[in-house]
Amino acid sequence: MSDDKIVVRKKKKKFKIFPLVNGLIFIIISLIVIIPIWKVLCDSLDARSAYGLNLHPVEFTLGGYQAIINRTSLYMPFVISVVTTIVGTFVGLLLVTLGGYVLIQWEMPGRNFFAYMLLFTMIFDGGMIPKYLVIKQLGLMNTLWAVILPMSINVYNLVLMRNFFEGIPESLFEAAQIDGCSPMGIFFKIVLPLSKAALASIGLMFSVSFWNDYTNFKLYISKNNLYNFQIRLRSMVADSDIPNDSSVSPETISSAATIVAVLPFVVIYPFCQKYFVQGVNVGAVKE
Amino acid sequence: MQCKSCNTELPKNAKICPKCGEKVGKPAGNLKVISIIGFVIMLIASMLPFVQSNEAVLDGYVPKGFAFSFMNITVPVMWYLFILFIVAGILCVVAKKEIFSIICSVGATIVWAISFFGFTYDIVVGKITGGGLKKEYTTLMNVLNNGYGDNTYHIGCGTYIMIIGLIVAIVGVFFDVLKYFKKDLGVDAKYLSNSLNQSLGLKLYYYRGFYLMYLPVLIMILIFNYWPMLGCRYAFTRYVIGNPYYVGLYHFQIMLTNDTFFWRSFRNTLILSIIKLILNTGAAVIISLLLNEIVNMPFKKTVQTIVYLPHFMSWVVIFSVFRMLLSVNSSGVINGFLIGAGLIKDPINFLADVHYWRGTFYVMNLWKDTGWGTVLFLATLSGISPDLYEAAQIDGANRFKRLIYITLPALANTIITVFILNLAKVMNLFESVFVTKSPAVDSVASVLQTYVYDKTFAGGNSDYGYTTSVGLFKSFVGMILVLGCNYASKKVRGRGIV
Amino acid sequence: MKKTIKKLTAVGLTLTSVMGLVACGASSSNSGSKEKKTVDWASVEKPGTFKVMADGTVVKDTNGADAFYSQLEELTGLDIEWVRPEHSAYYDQVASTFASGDLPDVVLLSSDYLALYANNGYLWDMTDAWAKSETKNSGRLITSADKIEAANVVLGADGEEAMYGFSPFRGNGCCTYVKTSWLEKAGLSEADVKDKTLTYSEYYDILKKMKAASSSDYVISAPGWIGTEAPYTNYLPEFYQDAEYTFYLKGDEYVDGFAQDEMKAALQRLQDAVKDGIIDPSTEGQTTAQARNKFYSTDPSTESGVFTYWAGTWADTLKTNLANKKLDDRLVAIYPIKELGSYTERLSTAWCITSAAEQSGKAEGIFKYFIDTMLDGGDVQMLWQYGAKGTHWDDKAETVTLQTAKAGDAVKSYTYEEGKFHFLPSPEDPTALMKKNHIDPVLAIATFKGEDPGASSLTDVVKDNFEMFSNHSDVAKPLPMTETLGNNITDINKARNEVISKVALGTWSVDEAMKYYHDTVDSKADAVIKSLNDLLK
Repeated sequence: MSDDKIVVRKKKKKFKIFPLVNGLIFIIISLIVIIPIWKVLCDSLDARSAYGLNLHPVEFTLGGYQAIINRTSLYMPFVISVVTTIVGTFVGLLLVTLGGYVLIQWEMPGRNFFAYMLLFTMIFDGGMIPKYLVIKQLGLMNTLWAVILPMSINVYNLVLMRNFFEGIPESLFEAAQIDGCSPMGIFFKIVLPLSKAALASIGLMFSVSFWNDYTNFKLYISKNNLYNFQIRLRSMVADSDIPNDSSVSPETISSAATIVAVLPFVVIYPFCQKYFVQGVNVGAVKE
Repeated sequence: MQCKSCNTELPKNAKICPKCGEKVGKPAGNLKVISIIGFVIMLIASMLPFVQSNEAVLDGYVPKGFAFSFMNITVPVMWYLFILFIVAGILCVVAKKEIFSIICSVGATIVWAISFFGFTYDIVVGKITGGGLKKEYTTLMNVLNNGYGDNTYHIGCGTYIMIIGLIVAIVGVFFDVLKYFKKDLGVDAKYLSNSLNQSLGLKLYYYRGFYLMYLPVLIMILIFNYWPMLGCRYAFTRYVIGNPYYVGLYHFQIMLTNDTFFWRSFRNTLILSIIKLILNTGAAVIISLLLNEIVNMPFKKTVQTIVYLPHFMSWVVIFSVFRMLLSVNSSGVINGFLIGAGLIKDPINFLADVHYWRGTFYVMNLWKDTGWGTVLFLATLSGISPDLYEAAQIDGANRFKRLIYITLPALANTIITVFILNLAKVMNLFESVFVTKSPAVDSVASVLQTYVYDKTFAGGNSDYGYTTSVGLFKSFVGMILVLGCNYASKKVRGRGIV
Repeated sequence: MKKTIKKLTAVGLTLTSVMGLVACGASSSNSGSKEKKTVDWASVEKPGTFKVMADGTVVKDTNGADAFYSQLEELTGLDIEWVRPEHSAYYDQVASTFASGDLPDVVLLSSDYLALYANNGYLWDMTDAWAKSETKNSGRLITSADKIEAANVVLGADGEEAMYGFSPFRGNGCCTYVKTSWLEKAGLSEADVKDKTLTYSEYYDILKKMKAASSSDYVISAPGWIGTEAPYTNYLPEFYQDAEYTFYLKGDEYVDGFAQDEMKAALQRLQDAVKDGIIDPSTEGQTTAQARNKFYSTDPSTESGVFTYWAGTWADTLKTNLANKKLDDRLVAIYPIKELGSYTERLSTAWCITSAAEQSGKAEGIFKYFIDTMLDGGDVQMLWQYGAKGTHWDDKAETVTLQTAKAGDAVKSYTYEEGKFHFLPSPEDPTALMKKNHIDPVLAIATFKGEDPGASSLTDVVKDNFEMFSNHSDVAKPLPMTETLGNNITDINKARNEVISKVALGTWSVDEAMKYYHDTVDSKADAVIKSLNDLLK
């Protein structure tokens, strides 16, 4: 900011009103976002069932969280969620990096064919029922692969990864080629180390979508012991399918479950914000 | 051989001069897309009824009459043969061997004609013990002349479309429409390295590692994206429990003429996603404009972090948070507040009342996605040169004028881009509705995808064929939207979205 | 761009069609002719290994199923491979098993699924087998047994009615429970409702008094406005009264019960009751668990005072749960009101033998040695009714101690002398005793030879309640499954449920709602009625 500008501003006496109002607006907006989450947090620590408008727990208890830790029907879904998120993110990243790397080989015979094949899937899809029948014919129903595999081949993320890879200077590849590096060698020694930010960004996108997955579990899983946390949370909230425990109210348990469902990302999110933002910008600005 | 423009000696298989980038060899001409469209029409026609009963389509009745196509021929090998000819034809066109493609299209037609006159077709007349279908067999000539059961028969749309497809496939070979759209591709020099001039075999060998690397991706794409596309053929069948059988276009006729639930869902899909899109984009633009005015950087970062947060919560979490806020008793947060303020007397069930559900849905969407929606706008705003503002300020332009004359024009392109990107996804509206709706609000909340889900998984006797045809309709409309938005995107910002 | 799109299209369609060659439908047509052969039942031999698919009403794997399996094998000498899907997803699994064609030999089905699969030819006709069976001719059958088995007589693939399943127990039904504390608060007493047939206006007056005397927003909170299986009206019977939710045989032809005047009157009653604050508006979309929780609620503003729920065992469970919440209340199960006439008993689940067993020639053997022995009046029936001896129940002298749910709770233990039947703690939940195995003792359709050995395990609450229910109930009438019905019923029910919820919540008047109903699904309902009436010809 130049000195001139400050001088210009200082001439106008009322310039402070707008920033003040603006700041106030954003404090209100932030509160609108924060208060519902805060309220759920308070309720999860409150032993009563009728909460009212208070913004702090009245009868403090950790019973809701204890119930989640103690009960198989509540912690197993959590474990399933963690497992699918980790395995899914790994498989997804593997496919996306392999595919993205091959798609930047412009002279590879069939490269355009592969690219068009991917793009066509973004234009037309078979629909929910044919996909369901395919999963069934493959015998994947009621296995965790049914929720991991279809989501791990994400064309959008693949194209995103390709865009990231394209940003790697051509000269690096050429140099490596001259040094006698094999395609695999280039991939592991040059491409992956240079794409850490991209891997973080796309890996986070994958893990958010696996952690938050509800639809695939609803469609392909009908066994109680394979449900993930989102499914369990939905049935707790909408159908009051909550283990009966006289020490805390069912509402407390479901509030605690809601907090547990958001916790992993709320904790890591402030540290990873730039990767998320980067992903969106690369996706929309470059193609 | 020598390059025409620079006289360099060229390698054996060269297509492009390594020195000046000029194309060598004789121009191959463009792809004859019209012919390919013709083949595709023929392929679709092979699933449409060649012969169709005259029975009127009545709401609620399972048709007594029949339709006949390759899908219920007693010798399905003929269909495979037909498809083989079509595929060969398309490959010939792609390989620029147009004469052979004509031969293929004629071959396909001959296969079709033989099937039409020479073979018998299944008629499903009931079920048998053991869970199969009771079938009878007839020839097309027989049903056309004598009818079957109480029904008379006529030539169906499949036959006409087949003939149209054939004509298009043959005539299309002689028209190079792409010529008129052709632009200079402006190949980047980096794509013109020496390896282009190697023979195909050498290239394949050189890239063998890459093919291996692509194999897992290819397999997954084929299984989870292309295999389901084949399942679209069930849209032409009645598929209850385990035995699909061909019913022609019956499902589409019922769906488009009689199914009020389908039309309701279609309408809701459009209303919900378009209003949501307008509200979300509008709110995101306003907020990013205001956010851009904040000069205190730590405050700005904090606000950004907070408003981005809800985007990463699942719809299930959003639903449970809102359900808690909106709980239907006098001690609920919102209801308690409204009752306390004397605005309402009885608590309102926001999530199960047809009058309030849509509003609640939009609010939930705003809460979840407005903050995240500002990311792109903020990126654009940060790209506007500060010099512009300074110059305007010196000229005496106030905050409002700067907004109108500098910020908004710069933002317009991004707004349109975001709008187009999201418009293409209008038909995909699913999880947000699926998680938050209850059967009580179906009349305002049911969208095409949830309709398909509810109808398929509501009972043991659901017809997969029917819901597949609803899904196919959805995919078809979605495809038109994507292509339309892609076109619009090219016009607006010079590149497509797919 | 055009080029791109067209290339894309070309590539996509080429691929699609190439894969078409690989994956195109393999349609098999098995055309078997069906001739009825006569079976000499005395010489039918034991079948070899066979597969049985059952839901969670048979003791689950986590609840000592192995002991049950081995004792059953010991007693009957049958080699059974059990398929036990998760209880909540049972019918999803059944549907996908039937769709895949890999059928089990025996499967437990609800009446809807029985009708559906019989109609599609997947089940074995057991009419003859049942007529000649030991159970049928034993003389131990309860009087309503014929009525219960009649529900398993449905249309087969050949268009003829036959018995496709066997229900070893009654379906049970719902009756209305009233909390005595609520009666007292309203200045009434137990005698005002117990053992007498009230009229609707008397009943409604009582509800109004209860509402006036309580601080709750409502008196009744039901699990949804309407049930999902026959008899649909069972959770709010006093308000629906004689209205029929779906198609039924009226005189000598089928009509749409929902379009009749009785339903209009019923909807009006429902609307009024919600308006008067008798019925909880959040009944909309409520699950059974939610409705039950409101009945047990300790919060006076959300507590409900009257609840229509399952009879028999549940009478005891409701009472125990209230006691656990320290709500010292007694429940009065009232007689059906005069306009209602009788409570309705739902159709029972049935054991069916599939066409797979028929094709492998095991069907007769399975019927004779597996199904016909379930109610043998002796040890096998004991097994099906009470579970495995030594795991689920015992009759030796011992002291049974239940684990406590939380540290500090009072330890419950019971001492029995030699020869006295008693249940053991449930293997799954050691804090409670076993209650039953597959067949609920009060619901079995055949008695034991001589005294029921487990009779002492039934509490008086259960026995009294079930006796009241038995005397005042009727079995629901099954609706034949036609293809047209199966094709349209989902849509029709959707419209019906919408009408009920909108009328109940006061969004629409009854006439507006009925107009909507007729506009939306009349043509479908007509097609269904026609298909049903065609069966009568």
